[in-house]
Amino acid sequence: MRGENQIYTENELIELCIKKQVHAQKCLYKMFSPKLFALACRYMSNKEDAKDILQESFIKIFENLASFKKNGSFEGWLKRIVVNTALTKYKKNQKNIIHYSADVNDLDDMEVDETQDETNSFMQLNEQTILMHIQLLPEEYRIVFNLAGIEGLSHKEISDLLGIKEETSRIRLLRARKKLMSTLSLIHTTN
Amino acid sequence: MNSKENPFDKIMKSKMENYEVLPDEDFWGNIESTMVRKKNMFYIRIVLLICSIMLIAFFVFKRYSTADTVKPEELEKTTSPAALPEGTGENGSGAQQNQALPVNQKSQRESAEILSKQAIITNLVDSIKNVSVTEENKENLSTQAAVVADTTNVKISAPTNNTPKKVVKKPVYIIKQDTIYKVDTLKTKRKKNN
Repeated sequence: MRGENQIYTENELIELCIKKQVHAQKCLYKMFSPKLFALACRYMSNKEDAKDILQESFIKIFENLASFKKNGSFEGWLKRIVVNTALTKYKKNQKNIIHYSADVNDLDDMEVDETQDETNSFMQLNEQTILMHIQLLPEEYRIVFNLAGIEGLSHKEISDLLGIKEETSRIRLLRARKKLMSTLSLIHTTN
Repeated sequence: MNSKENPFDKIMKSKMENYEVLPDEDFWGNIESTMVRKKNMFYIRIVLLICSIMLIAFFVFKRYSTADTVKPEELEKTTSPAALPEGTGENGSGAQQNQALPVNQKSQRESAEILSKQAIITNLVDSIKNVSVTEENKENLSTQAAVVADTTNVKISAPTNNTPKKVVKKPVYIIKQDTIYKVDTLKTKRKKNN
């Protein structure tokens, strides 16, 4: 039997984790926790909330590992669990969130034309800074920006997930983008 | 606007997609302890369920097993002489005693009566065999015969000297814990006269 320091293939790891082997579970945690923690940090406003999401997600992962169909991407499956856990928490907290009114006419005003220089400047920013500014966004903007801007979900899918209108999803994405661009460009100019 | 076409979104995605943040070193301990706690709670719930089922079964079994037994206190109350109703007649005493006792004790009382009657008869027969008949003995024998006649309901021809009939009340025997108690109903009548 392999010890803790042995290298496992993904399928071997999954099989051992299904059998509740603790060293295999720890190995899986070590392999995927950095990416999943970064994902959780993107959806939450602080590290403590992100830790809660990560803990809940790993418990769900170990409990439901047997249901994973091996034809798909394992990392994608893990990320989906983290995102769903974060969205569940967001929906629970929704009553405490101030909902900004979304006017469809504001869409045109919010479109920002980037210059090539601005685009290049954003490329030079490090990930830690970008993450920090994403965390500073209001929660409803942050969630939509993560789902639409980074994960690539359509506004129809986001409206079904969050229970909001498609126009609301579009407006929130535009507002998030505008706010983020202004703060990141401010950092670049100060640097 | 499609977010995939937006260059800002593309940059954000390229930067954040594979970004990694290391959690604290002791973070795995939290996850492990939570999983162990969940596992223990599962076993505790199973044990509690089994105990509750056993408890319910115990109470149900106890209830049905004690349903037919009679409490000794109830038996004592109905058998004490003071508890006997006043003015019990020759025919009434037995009947009222029957009402006072539980139904499943009637057969025991009747068998005790039969046994006592048989004992009296055998004693009487022995005494008659051994004793020569004199005037005094005749009187005693006649009274004893009258007692037996009353208790066994068998008619015996009365002696020719016409001695007055002595009214003897039927003795009542109560069985309690394999012991036969004789209830003297004459005592109650004496109390009434006083």
